[in-house]
Amino acid sequence: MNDATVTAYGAALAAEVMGAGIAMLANLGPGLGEGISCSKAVEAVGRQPEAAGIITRTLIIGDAICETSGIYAFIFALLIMFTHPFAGQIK
Amino acid sequence: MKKPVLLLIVALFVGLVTFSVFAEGAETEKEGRKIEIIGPREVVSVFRIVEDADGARRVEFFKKSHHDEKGNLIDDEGVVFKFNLTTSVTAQWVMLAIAGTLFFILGRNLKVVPTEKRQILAEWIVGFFRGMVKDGMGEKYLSYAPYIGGVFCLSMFSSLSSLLGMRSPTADISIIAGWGTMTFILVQINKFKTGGVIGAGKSLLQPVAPLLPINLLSEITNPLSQTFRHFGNILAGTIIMGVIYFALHYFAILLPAVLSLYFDIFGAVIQAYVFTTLITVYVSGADCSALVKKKSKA
Repeated sequence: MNDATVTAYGAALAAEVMGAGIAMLANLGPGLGEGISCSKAVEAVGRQPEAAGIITRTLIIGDAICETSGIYAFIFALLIMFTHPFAGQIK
Repeated sequence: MKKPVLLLIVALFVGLVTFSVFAEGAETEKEGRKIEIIGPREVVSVFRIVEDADGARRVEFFKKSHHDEKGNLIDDEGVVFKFNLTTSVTAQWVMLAIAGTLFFILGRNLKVVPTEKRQILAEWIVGFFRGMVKDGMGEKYLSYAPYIGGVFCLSMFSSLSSLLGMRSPTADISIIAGWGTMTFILVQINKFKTGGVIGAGKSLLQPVAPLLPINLLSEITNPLSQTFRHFGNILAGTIIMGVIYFALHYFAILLPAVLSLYFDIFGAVIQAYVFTTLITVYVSGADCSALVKKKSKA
């Protein structure tokens, strides 16, 4: 490895780590969405306390589905972090 | 009456499918625990994952023969199936054995009028899954209750095994991908069972025919997103708990226990519930009988 390669490797590594961090920003969406759905569920339970069970169940299922995009971002970030798709190509 | 035993059988089946479909991982090849199954010679098309010297993995489909890393031709005729015994698969077996033993004990000596707490617990578990299937899929899908229960219990036990200090098998995507494949198979079976070939074909052209590529894609992405959701949640919990243990080092006494209530236990149970609920949604959503009826009227 000469100096240029080392520099390129370091740059690629830094870019990968930053990319993983930026990918995790996608969790903003699910976080906001789950907060909104939770507040609505609290309102619903307040209005109709006898339906608390089914509201909670629906909330949890809905939240889990909302989370999907966040989970994709997380897996993507993990892939970047651990498989090194770009830094690994520099030899 | 024999529902807990059925649960056990289904759990074993799911485990076997998981084991046989996706157990190919290169991680233990270095450790030397390698098992090869040589099957009948007429089956020739096989894929396998090969690890290079750089650590890069590739999937190889080979027919009768293939090249090894040095480029030499290896005659692999007759090798039907190759897998390595990974940590996840072993942990999965342990959890299967524990869950199976538990349900076997719960389901023994059942009486018409329950006299033991054990039987009341067993009836509650069976009733829970039957209620879940009845609510989510309707009466006519009640035969899916043992499968749903099996997947639920296997998923929950596997995820909770991180409390015993094991690495959760569900933090390995191969294990979950096996279950996702089972969902895919069940959806396809239900499509052909309810609608026949015509109904299954028409379901791909809903609501309009040009959407065929999107519909084909969603056939794959539904089980895939289910897989990723379960895997990502459990892996996130595992990583966060690992970071906490690493950061606290010698002082990891009380705080990890409190935090693992959320990251391990809550996450495991919720994900098992969500995974099984999504199975019920996908499978009952694949009902094509309405499409066929419409056609016969016209």
